[in-house]
Amino acid sequence: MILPSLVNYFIYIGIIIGIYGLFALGLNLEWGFTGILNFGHVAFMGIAAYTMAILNIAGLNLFISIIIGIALSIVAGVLIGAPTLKLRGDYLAIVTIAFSEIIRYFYINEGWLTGGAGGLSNFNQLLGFLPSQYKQIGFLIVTLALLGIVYVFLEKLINSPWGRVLKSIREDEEVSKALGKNIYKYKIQSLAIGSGIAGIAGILQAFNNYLVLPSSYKPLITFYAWIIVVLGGSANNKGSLVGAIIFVAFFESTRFLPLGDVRVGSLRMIIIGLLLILLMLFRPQGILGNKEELKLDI
Amino acid sequence: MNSILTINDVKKSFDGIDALNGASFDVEKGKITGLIGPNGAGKTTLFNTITGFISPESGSIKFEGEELIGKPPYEITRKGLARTFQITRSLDKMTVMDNLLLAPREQTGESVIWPIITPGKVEEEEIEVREMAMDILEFFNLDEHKDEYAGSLSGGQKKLLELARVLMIEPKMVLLDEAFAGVNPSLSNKLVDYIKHLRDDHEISFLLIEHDIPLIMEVCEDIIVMAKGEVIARGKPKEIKNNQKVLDAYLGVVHDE
Repeated sequence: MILPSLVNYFIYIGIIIGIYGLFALGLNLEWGFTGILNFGHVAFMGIAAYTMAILNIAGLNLFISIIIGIALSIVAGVLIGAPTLKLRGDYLAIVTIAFSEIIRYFYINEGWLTGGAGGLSNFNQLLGFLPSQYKQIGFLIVTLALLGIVYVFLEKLINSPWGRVLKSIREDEEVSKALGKNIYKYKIQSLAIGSGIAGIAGILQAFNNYLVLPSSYKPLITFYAWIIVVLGGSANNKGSLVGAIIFVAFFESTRFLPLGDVRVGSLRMIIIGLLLILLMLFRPQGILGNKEELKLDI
Repeated sequence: MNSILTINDVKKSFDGIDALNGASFDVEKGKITGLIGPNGAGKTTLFNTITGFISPESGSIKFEGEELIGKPPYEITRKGLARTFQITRSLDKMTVMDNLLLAPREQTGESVIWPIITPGKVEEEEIEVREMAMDILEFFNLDEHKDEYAGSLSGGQKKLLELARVLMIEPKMVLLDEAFAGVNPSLSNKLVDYIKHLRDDHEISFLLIEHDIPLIMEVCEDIIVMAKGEVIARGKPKEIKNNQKVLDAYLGVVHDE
């Protein structure tokens, strides 16, 4: 029965691509379109996933737990953004990465609430009502549907006057201010929406793993999103999706190298590093990025 | 005198150095007023203070009778007081058209929800704003470049773009910080014509910082001279030309008071 397991494997890859695609789309809104240097993107993924798991285990309806989880990651985005978005980019980067680590240590240490290092797994399945042979494919459909909705929503927003203000903030905050825009408000909105999208990705990931674990929310995951965004081309939503496909495909294809997990893990990072160097040398705008835009930086 | 902007005893220091030392003057409505003075006189600091980019220690700045101090830049702009920057600042990775479309005040589509809920209304507004932008681009002969990135324009064209963008705000008053610096003579004549036209036909008041004295003598009806954070002279171009205090300030002569 090699064929069904192969099909299942591709379904699994499709789900991972969807989750990373969503996660990267959120970062792309913040960085690509608004210029917010968020190095703590993974925190918002974890907040939604843990909230959902904790509330559902406590007996709350799954659907409501999901909504509250995503809402809380949005609120967290606002709360983190409010005091920090007036900071210069590099300071913001430090604050956000610190925040994401504080949150992760909270998961590890507050075991009474979060299950500690072992995480939480007793929450309901999203598609528990489906017969088991359809669960995977059903979950793929849900994931891709959410990805599609978020993508269309973002494209609409980016091409609206609202998106135009975001781009002006990315280009030159002072000009944006001088043209009468309350840039602080827009940055908070961008971070809040980006965080909400990360929250959706986090919840999907939790259902996919049947588990939420502190180690799923390491800073490394944030940098995966950065790799995807840069690879696909910043400020391009389609680029983020292409980036996610390439990134996940690369990750999965190296899985079968007969070197053992630790070595494969290190080798991956070496290869990704080399690929990024080559990308910066030969296609610095990313795969779908606009070369004309890049020339303007010089 | 019908003044649009009244500045009264504004003080600002940076690390103990007084940039503005009680500057006071008012700007007459519908006039082109020049603000000159040697380097370090506090002209740009004053511009930044008027537009809310820096807050002064004391004093009062009133625009159409309303106090501006304490208000953030975006609120001041929305009252119809717009500015340009000393160094031209175009939004390079946005098209020329988008640079202009960004500027109008109070656009429904600039809130995060309306583009999703009422895309039709937002689109209607966009069409209107786009028409206005086309008119202004034609006025500045930039219409051919509307779909190009602002960053690909020449230095002179960027100056025009900055002025065009400010007009999209439909301002009552514009502060121009060295709009003529590094501009070739033919373009600078053009800019002068534009400014005069805008004043005559749209009743926009101008306050301009300028180092090109002959040019400012030609353009401005009223000139304010600053030195060391204070206003040292004011008058018609002829009066300023012959004012000993002004000459001294430019030449660095110190008087015992």
